[in-house]
Amino acid sequence: MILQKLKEFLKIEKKFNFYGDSCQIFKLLWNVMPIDISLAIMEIKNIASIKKSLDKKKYSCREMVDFLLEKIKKEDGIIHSFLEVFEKDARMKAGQIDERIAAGETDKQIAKEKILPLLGIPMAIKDNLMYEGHRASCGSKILENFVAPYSAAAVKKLEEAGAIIIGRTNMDEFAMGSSTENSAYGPTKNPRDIKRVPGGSSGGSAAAVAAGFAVAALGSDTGGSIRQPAAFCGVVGLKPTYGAVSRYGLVAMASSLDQIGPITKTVDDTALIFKIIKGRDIKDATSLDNEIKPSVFEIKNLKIGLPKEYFQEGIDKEVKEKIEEAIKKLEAAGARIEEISLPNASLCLAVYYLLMPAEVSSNLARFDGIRYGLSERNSSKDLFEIYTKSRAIGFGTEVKRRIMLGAFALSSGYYDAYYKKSKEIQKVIRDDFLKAFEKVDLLLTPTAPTTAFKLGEKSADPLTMYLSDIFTVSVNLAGLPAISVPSGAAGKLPIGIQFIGPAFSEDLLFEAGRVIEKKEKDSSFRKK
Amino acid sequence: MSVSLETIEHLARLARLELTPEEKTRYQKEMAAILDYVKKLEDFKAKTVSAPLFSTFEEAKACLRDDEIKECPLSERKKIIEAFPEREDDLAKIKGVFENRKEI
Repeated sequence: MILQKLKEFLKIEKKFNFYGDSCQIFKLLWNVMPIDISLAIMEIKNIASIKKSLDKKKYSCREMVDFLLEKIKKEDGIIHSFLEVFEKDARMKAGQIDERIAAGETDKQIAKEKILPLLGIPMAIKDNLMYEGHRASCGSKILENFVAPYSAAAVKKLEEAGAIIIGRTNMDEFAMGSSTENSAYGPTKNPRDIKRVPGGSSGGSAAAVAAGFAVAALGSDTGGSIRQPAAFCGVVGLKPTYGAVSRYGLVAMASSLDQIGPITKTVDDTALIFKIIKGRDIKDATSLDNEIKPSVFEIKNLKIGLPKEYFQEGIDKEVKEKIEEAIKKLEAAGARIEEISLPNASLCLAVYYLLMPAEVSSNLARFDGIRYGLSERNSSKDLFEIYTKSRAIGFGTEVKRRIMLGAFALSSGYYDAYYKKSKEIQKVIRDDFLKAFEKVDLLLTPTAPTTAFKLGEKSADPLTMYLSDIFTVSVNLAGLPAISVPSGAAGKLPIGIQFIGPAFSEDLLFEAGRVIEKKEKDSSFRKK
Repeated sequence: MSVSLETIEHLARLARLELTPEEKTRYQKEMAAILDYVKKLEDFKAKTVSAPLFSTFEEAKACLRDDEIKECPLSERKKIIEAFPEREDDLAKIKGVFENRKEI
């Protein structure tokens, strides 16, 4: 098999370029060696393709899971998207599903599928989501050996829908970061270019999906942590409306801004998973049962606003060009493009970097070495020292930095000038969006000002790192939904386009996302 | 804006963090830079000072459940207890709260 492939390869390439072709041949060997080639061409593109293949018995669930686990073993050593792979559990579950499929009659199977829309779908979850009986470390040393006593509401819903959770993914410690370099367990690398970061904080989830280790993943988004890594890795990521998905079982970072959302390869998959995980949950007081406004979508009737403040400065030339291309395509398809203003856009990042640390400093007070996690009780002389030592050893640099900043913003003498003022401006920022949505249906912006940056490039200066969230944080401050969809690339580095909608307009975001997705498909088809 | 070493030490105490001298100088510098950045908020003057977001009791009350005790499932309870770093039977064991108490 390998020889045949090699021959084919050499036949096509007439001139033998020593360095480049040797690399190609090595890659080819690397790709086919340990696994059967028939498995390597399995269709594991998206949820629909897996369901079709399982249904037509092209492969069994167990074969697919075995293939993915093998692939992870072989390739994730470099990418490091997983902190732990639930190998035994995943194989067992896949076996059980195969038995059910084998035992079920056809019509019953169909009935089953309706109740189990994710039957046999391999998914990954971010390490800050609890999955009963499995470790959840939040990318932190302080929770290294913490085992989740119960499952997060969103994870439970996935399981009930039939999904197989294959592992927990790497993240910036306690979701604080934009590159996944702040993980206590080492950084994740971008599958598109391993010298670069996958974005963050859900960098492990985005990388796992982009590398084809899992067909979908859950992430969490407090200021862009789903959308920015999705953009950097060339996948789709949704930050739902605040309250749309229960946060029960998500380790809190900034409770008033956190939301759980899907990261997938296609908009359809994101829409499917979102529909499964959304809804009111009695265990999350901020969750809501609002009907997602169904969109009667016609691109001709769609008015898309471009917030002019977002297009002024600081955007990479290539990102800007690709976004402008996408805008032209939307216009050609019949959408009306209008420039609008979000007058206080320049204040968003500053407001975010006061409100978020304030909530961080109180949420992370629970990690004290008393009830769970790392405890320095034996080396401490009193209770106070257990707190200070456990936290000093258990937390990383960025987490400590934000706790300090939050303590500052909330401390007496500074509370009015920083925290209270930020809350007031947050309201004004939200009002700006509401006003914009009186004029247009959706807003369009780049997801991030740059493509994926190099490992280490921004880690020395926290403020530079914070700036990569400049287009995403405002959405969390206003509690709105937003989606990032791949839209072209600069070389091999993907670029993401962000649509922002009014509260509970997720369906409209999906429709708009599909337009971009289709254009992408068409243009890459033409290139071939 | 400059941040004094005393401020850093005060915040570390409030946040229950033991910092090394290197960390203190580092955070001193970095916090100053971040506070310079957020300074732009000072210039913001709202025409009408609006109420902070989600600040009213009515807004908050809408999402509260009845105030009643609900039992935690036994298996969950067991796992939570097992996670205690140190315990005596089903209780978490800690050092005395009032012994060697430091003035905060």
